[in-house]
Amino acid sequence: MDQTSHPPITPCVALLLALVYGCTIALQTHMYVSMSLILFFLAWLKRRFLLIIFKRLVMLNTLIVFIALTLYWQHQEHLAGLMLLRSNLMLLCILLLFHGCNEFTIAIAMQRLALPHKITTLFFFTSKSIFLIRHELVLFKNTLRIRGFTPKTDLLSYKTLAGFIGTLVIKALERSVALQKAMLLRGFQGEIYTLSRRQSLSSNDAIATLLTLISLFWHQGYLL
Amino acid sequence: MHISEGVLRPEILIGGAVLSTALVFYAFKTLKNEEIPKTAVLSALFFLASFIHIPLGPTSVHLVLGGIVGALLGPRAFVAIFVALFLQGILFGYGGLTTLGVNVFNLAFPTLAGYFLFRLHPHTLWKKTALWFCIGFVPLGLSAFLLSLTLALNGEAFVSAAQLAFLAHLPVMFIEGVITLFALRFIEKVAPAWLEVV
Amino acid sequence: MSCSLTMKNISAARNGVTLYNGITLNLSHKEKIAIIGPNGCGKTTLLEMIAGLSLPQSGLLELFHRPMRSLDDFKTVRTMIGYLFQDSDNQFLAPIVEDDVAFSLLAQGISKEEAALKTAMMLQDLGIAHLAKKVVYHLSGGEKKLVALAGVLIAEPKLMLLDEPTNGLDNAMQQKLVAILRKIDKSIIIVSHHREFLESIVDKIYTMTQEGLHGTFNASNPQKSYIWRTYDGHETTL
Repeated sequence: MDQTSHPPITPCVALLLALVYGCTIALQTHMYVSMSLILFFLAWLKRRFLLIIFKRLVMLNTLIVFIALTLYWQHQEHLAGLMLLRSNLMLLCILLLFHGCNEFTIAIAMQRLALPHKITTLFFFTSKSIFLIRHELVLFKNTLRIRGFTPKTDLLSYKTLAGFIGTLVIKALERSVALQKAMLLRGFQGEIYTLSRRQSLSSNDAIATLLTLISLFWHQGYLL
Repeated sequence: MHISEGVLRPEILIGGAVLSTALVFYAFKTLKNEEIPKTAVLSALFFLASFIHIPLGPTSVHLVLGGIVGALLGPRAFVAIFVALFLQGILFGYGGLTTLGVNVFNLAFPTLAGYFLFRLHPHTLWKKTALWFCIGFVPLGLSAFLLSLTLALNGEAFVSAAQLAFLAHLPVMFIEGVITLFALRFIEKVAPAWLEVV
Repeated sequence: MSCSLTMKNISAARNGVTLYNGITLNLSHKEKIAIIGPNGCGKTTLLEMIAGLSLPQSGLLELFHRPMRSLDDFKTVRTMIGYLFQDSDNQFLAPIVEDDVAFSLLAQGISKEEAALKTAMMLQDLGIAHLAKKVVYHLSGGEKKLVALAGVLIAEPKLMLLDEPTNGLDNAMQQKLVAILRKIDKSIIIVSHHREFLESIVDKIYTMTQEGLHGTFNASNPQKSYIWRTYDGHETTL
């Protein structure tokens, strides 16, 4: 995937928006319809993927609904409703903003935010490791399938899976040694550089920022 | 294992954020350049553990691997788990940004238990087996306890949810213990040098 | 004659097992050689010693006429040595192709403008300009190898160490690699088990055994017959 092809919202702007929106919504004790304004805009930008995003939202709701039910059962209807609404607004915001992003997009966004070099380096190396270890994971799952092995709740399955975890750990540690060698050989000076200049912001970024602020500070349509 | 966005009261969110920021900041400040690779690969492993499903009767649970990560990283685990949870929150909506502080503390602090258990020197095979089981079992048990405690502190109405959450984690703790034990045994057999305590 | 590398009676061990005693090797300026041998005989260890990742147990190692006695000594020659990993994934530090290729330049403090220009030229030279903005890990094995090579070449090293460069490459990509390596006017040591590939690039082929490096084969002069000993002790005539 080409990381420079522009996603609707620039990832580093998306990070900041998610943070501001999340932190503000998390502190609310009353909810208004207007708080979802930004979500409609994001949903329109991601309209082709809405089904996938909503499926994910439903899946993530299992635990939240479970907690809400225990509250409802104790006649804490307002609290239950508040929790459900807050959770879903914040989750939907994150899912809409970051749908289609991968670990590298986030690492690059961290770099653009001009954070300390050590933290961006860590994000770069972690995203690299995620990519490489996930590849091992897929290979292992395929091997199991080809051999017709379906893990069950028994000691053999657990030992097989544990052996695989052991392999993953060893390979991960070997990768870390190789990475250390690469840092030494290639003259790592504490920073991962980029040739690209500061990313220019798109009009979508500006609209999203404006709508986020309106959503958070213009309260209209009292819900609960 | 993660507490979702929107559930907790601001006091708890802020408390968790302050606590984790201090711990992560300290671990990060003292992180040397040459330690970044190991921290990064184990952060990735922690990130991916959530995608490794272990069958349990008709359902399945996912691994956490906090014990192994803690055993191999020590206090650096705070940084590794912070990065892993940040990415999980952004990319999959597990946990989230506002709950990051609470979740990092609940998951990372107990891995220190894994670190200390790993540094004990068991003399018999039986003791070693028990110890290695505990490297998986204890950190996850503590995490489940902290998670329930967080929910309970969130208000009286959350106490029943907290109790249920802890009960739901009991089988997971055993599975984590068994898998950790066998995984460490496997590493000991194949590449024992990685388990040497330095 | 100026020497890039001199090794005298180098011995090395891995996990307490001796890999070899008494490796002696001279590499003159712009000479290209290959070292072959079975898996696990210590070829990569040898490259890592030359690159200053580990020290030999005993013996003398000189790089560009400077004796290397401690790992610190290598600091002065680090930028003159280029190392190509067997697994390209291990080579990369930055996720985007152009950023990774430019890495050594930017780490040396060269300006972004100049680094960008040199990187674009390097990518053009290797025929991978179209990959500039891609994520390195998403590329094919051959493309990764070329990107890794670009990242090494751009630092203009005097000595290049290539560890199994043909591993996992298809025929077309191997041909491409041969063409590139033949054009490079530097001292090169290639470690490989792929003889056919080596013959078209190097001046000498060494076979590694426990006792040291054996026999030479001059590929640049194919009319002559040469005898060299293979790793399992058989003598072969070409």
